[in-house]
Amino acid sequence: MDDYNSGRMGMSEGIALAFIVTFPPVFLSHPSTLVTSAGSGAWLTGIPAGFISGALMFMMTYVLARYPGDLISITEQLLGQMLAYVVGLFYFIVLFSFAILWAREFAENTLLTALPYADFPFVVACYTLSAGFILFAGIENICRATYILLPFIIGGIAMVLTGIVPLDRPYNLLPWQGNGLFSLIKPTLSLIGLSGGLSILTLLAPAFQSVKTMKGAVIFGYGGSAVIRILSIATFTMVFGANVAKEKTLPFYEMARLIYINRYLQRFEAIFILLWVMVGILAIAISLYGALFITAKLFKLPTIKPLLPAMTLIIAQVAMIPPDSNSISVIESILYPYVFAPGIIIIPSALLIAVIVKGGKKQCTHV
Amino acid sequence: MYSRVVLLLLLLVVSITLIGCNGAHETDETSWVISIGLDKGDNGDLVVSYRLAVPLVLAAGEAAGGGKDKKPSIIITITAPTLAEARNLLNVAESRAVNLSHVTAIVIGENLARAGVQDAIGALTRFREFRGSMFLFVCRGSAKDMFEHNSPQLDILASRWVENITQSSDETSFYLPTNLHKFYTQLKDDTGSPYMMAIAINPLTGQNKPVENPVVGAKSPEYLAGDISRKGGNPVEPIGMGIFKEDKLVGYLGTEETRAVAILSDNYPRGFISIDDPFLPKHAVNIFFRNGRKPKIHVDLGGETPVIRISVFLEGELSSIPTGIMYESQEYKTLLEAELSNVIREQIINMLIHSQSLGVDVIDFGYFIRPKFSTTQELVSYGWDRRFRQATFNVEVTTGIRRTGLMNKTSPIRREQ
Repeated sequence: MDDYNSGRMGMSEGIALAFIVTFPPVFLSHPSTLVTSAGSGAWLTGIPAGFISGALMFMMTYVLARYPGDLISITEQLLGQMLAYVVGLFYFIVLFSFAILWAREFAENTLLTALPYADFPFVVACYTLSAGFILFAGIENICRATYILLPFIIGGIAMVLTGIVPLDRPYNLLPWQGNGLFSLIKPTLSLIGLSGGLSILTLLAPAFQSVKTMKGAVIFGYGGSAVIRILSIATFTMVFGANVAKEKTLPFYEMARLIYINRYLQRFEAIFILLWVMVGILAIAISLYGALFITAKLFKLPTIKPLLPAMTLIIAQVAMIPPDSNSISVIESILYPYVFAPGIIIIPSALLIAVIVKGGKKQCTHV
Repeated sequence: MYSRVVLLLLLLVVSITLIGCNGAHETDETSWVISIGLDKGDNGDLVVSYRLAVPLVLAAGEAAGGGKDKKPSIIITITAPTLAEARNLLNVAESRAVNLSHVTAIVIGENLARAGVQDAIGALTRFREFRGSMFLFVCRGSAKDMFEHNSPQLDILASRWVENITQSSDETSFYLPTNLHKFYTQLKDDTGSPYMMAIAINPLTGQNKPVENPVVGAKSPEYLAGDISRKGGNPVEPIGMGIFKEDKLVGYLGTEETRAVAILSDNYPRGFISIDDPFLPKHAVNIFFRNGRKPKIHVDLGGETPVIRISVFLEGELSSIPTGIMYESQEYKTLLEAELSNVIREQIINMLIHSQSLGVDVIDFGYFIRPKFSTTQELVSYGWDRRFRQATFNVEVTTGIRRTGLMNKTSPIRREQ
């Protein structure tokens, strides 16, 4: 038995997992990047992206119902060993990139808001080492901790979105096409690319024991994350208008700063810094786990623990390479829509076609 | 055993790093700036006036009843090319590290506002210590003078004074609080025009200097900041609003015009108005009124020029009928409602004509045309700013006097037979 294969995880762990790997962009610059591309119609892009990503995951559950196992082993069965390596490598790049990009972005945001005088390498190291360290507790425990954190995340978001209702200007969501229908395509692809973290559900499929659990995780975990993300982008656009929204580095933080109920109830943003730090560390840890899992699977390693310190250090080092925070946005604007999204769409589709061609029958609901 | 040691070390690291001491300054090591005044200096420089809190005086006042001979805040004025350089120089002038995160108000002098606030406002939205909730004022005159003359007697702390005057704007809506967020988003938006609260120094001579006579049926004339007949109190008074075209101040709206803006923006919670008694115009009837519902605004783009249709419903309560005429009765009440509707309608039209003549859409009627376009490019190419100057208005105001105060009828004063 490999020590990195998780034991048993239920619906709650699945929901937490699906939520936390797709939610960090809300706390980062991504909403403003979407508004830059799509203008006032940016919030709409979350709807097709959510449905497409959800549908792709449902395609995977269809495959899993017929070929039990994890993503790599199923690909090997259906498409051969070579393509299994290719698929593994692709998802490794996706998850490893998330870990690197998020480590850098969360570190930059912390420097910008909470710790302006701290050393940059120190903050990057705090994020990556914390993520690496909590991985020693195991993926199940991280998922359970995330599930405990979920009400606070959702409650915190709800508090910010309702706290700035007086500043909402609903017509700022119009003209509905924003910068034109064509301009909505790239942000939609970008959001699909960001859903690449959901692949971890298929990597851990055996731990979820049944397809039903995975479907529930997708519907409630990813669905919840997508809905809150749409609401968040919509509120951001309503409050700032597209022209100012695209200027913002930290949309969520800026929204939290605007809450002014009266002279005694204001300056809430400090609370949310803690929230995003926790979300950031958990998301980096889970992405790192996914990348390590794939590495271990592809190279048939018995354990991932010896790799952890090395991979954590690599993440920290690579995260510090881009010269400035805007370079990260440029990298993301290429990676998400043009590199990640095509793979995320093609791989489940190819697996589904393979299952249909090979005529796999539904074996049981267990995976 | 190994994991316990690691866990213990981790807890130690966490307990050291999470205590919040990284980059912390004690309060007695920090100069807290409460408000900033900006004026245009020579050679493109900024004249920056800082009002700094003196917490020791407040503490002494509360704890020992002392500190009365000392002021709770001090003003330091620095001339520098930019806000950042002025802050550097302020740090040199003060022994304590300057912190701007508690700035509650930015006051911009008229000279700078007319020349354009683009350079001054750049830092306000980007630097972390400034917040979108800071209030903005435009001063008729110099911000430095305003700082020096400002002597609130009811509020010890200058920041409390700012918070109180912005909060109490709800009582009259003769000035409308504007924060940095609102100003900045309006500055960059596709339609509408930004504005700030206007503020000025009243000479306190008691001289009455209305800018416009009252509209027919109203008692009170139009005042700009600094012009009301007053003796005593704080010389500094916020009245009306300074309206901007792009980033430049182009004019002011007075008391009644600002109230009209508040009514159309659905930001008029309450206020008194004195109107002519319909039967005995030399007497006044006082009505306490507010928006009865959100104003309906419809912009028709079908014709050559836009037609803006506005429907306002006001809800009133009688607060004084000195003549004894039975305006509480349904028959006479209708007359009073019509009188109030006419007055407010005239004031709204005057405000719209004034702002149209200045080329500014202060209500942001352009906001209401957004659903009529599919893309932002179509909206921008429609050229709302240009079209607004040619727009025609169709204003309808109706009033319902729902309550008659604590009296439901007025008996006449007994006269000698």
